[in-house]
Amino acid sequence: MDPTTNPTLKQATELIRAGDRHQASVLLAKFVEAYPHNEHAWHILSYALEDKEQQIYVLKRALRINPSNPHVKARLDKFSPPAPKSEPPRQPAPISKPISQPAVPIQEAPPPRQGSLLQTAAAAGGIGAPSSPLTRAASQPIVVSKPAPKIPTYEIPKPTKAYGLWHRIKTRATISWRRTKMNWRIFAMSPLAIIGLILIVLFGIMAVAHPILMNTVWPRGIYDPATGFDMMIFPHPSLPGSGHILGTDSLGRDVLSMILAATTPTFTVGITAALTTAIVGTLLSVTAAYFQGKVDFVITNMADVFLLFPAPIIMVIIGARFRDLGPVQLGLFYGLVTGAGATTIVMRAQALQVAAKPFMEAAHVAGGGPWHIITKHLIPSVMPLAALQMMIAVTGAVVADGFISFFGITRTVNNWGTIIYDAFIYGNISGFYGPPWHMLIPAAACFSLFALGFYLVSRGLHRVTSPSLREDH
Amino acid sequence: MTRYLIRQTLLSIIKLFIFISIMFFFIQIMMPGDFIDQYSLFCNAECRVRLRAQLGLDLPIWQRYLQWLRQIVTLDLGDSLHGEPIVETLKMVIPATLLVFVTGTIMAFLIGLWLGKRTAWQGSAILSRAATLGGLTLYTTFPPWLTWLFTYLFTKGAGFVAMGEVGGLGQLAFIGLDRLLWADVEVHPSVIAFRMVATLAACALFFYLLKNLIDEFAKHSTPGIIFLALIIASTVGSWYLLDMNILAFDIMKLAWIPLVAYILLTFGETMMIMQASMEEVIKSEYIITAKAKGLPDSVVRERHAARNALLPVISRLVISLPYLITGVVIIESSTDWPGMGTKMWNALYWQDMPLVMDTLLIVGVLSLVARLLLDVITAYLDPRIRYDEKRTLSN
Repeated sequence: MDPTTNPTLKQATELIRAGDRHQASVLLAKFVEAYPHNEHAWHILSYALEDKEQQIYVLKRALRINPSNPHVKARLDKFSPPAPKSEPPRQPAPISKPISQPAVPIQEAPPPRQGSLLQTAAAAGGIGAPSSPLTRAASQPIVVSKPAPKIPTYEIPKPTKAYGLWHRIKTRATISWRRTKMNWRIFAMSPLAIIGLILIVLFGIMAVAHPILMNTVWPRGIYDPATGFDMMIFPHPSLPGSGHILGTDSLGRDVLSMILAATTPTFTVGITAALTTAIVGTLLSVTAAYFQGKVDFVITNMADVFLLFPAPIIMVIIGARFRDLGPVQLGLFYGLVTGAGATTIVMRAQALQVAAKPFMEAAHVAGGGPWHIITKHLIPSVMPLAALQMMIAVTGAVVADGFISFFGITRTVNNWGTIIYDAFIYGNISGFYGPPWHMLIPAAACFSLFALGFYLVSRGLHRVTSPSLREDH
Repeated sequence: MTRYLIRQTLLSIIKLFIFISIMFFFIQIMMPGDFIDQYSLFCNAECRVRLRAQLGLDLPIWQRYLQWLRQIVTLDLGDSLHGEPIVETLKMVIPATLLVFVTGTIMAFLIGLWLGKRTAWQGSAILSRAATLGGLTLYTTFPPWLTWLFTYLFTKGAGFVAMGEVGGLGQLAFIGLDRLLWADVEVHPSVIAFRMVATLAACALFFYLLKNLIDEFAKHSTPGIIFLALIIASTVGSWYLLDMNILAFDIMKLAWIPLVAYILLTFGETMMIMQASMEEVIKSEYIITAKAKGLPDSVVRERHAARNALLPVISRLVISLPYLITGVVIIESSTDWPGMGTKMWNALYWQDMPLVMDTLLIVGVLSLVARLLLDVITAYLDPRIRYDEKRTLSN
């Protein structure tokens, strides 16, 4: 509705310049009827009208829409010097049509771009030329006679008490507690996620239980997961019975003790892999999204290359090289490979979306350097996705670790994979007894449930982190 | 599009080259010892030096690398360290992998899609939750355990025997085929396997196009299960026509264990992605509009929701595709299926590096080709995607 772009307003201006005021007023009257909130239309209309009263009315309407339009003000001052002082624009208009909308510019923001059109229009058309700087200067004395407008001074209210560190910590804690509660509500909406959490907690209890049991109830000679042997039982892959809840394996070791002891290394592999994946993936994806261009090209294509690397095979090779490879190192390698591959690809897409948002531009304009923007804006906004990828990495790492220890390539002492492997091998040798189900089923179940727990939690987290899903009920 | 494809192909070749080079140096430097060290029991130091010189293992690693590159460029892959011609070996091994993994991937994808859209549509019904839990449990099952269970349950305790042979190199062959049946057949079982894959692919393509054509004109989409049955029936029929039905069934008798195990182990992933994608689509307003129009539930689900939910699933599959290598190795080597995975695993075990590297090369080529194919499919399915020079934010 800018007078420079709107054809009707343009035409009206032309008409006024040409001197055909009547035609212009008809045109503008129709326009104003259709768009009663266009200040420019009201303003231009004031040039088209002959009658002084009408002109004042029209100008007041314009002023009511935008009280800060200098040209309208100046023109109104010219007509009735005392008017602006006595009549605040809020006063009801004499012949007002009912105004349904508030008197603020709802049209496009008033572009005060030099307000020039009217000046030129007026200058060219010779209609009063009211708002040229000269005339404004001429009308100055009247304005000066008024009491100088009092500029309100805003005092920043002083804090009644000093906000110390403790207060800030408390506020932060309250906010994050509330956010946690809200997220928890969303998370708990899906029963499957709760099942996953229960499974993880259960495995945590198992991991803690083993050393406690070893130090209190179970004599080390009989129940040690690596070297234990029960003399009282003769044929040694023995079925569950008193003393050995899950029986013993072919070497006379207690199966329950082995399974419990394997929990901690599995957790270690999983968590190391998860952390590594998250760190590597976040750093690479954020760098790619921030710098874009060539950096992005290189990182994306390198991620494609890393995607091809078969992580278990790499872990096997590394395990063959450094024979005594612990769970931490295995998790580290798995995390590196997947973090630079799949995680980077997934997270880069998200980071690019974030980087295109307006607040990033605002951060740039505010003078934020790369370090500030990456650490304060980009990383926090891709964090939820990183958490999701962590959970998925746990599953992958645990399966890969089980696989390579199943084939006996690393010297991982005790693992659910090795328990299954032992059951196969010794079941094969002593095939007479049939497969040792009491070893196979618990180990396989532990494997499946452990990975399942993390997977279910990742589904729940996905619900929390994706905004389109969290709006429902 | 053409320009994009050319560009991507060139990039893929460069990526493949980087991957292969890194793997070459990584494996050779990282693995302790070499091929000859395996035989140190029967061979003294002089003998080992002689053998190394004979096989070219005494050259510095960069020379071996350049030699190997020349072999690839000239397409003359030479012999493995065991003395088998590598091209022949790969020819024997690839059809078996294709039979199990192409079929298995497509089946798992279809099952995952179907379950995913059903479970997401029904929301919190007990049955859909149970299906989700079941699919995810299968997805996280330890693969060797599942394959062993299958072998044990369905082949009367043969599982232990099969497991005992994992890791032994041996002449890789279809263990368990009926020897009498194959006695007077000149061709290798892998040739039959290749023909099986080819007929299956042809039938599947034909009926897929037919289904699309019918769906164009029909008001309601025809149930996919009919077409699945038609595909299977026509494939088996073509085996009869090609007069290889008995041999094919003999192979299928072995192939179904890795096939079913692979499907069960992988459909959970597609199901989960499809579910997430459907859950987002269901919230959108056009679904509510379609329901408010009074369309039947199944039409809204199939035509309005599932079609739009499919796109993210396919673009997500691009990422999980190369994981196929891992899956191939794990599943094949735990079922003794004589495919690329087992071959590579055994070759790695025996440090037969030329064979390992060439297998990795083939797997890399296959997965990059599949990736390009998926790109084309995505562009075909989603009219919003236009691949031009600036690809970064196009989707």
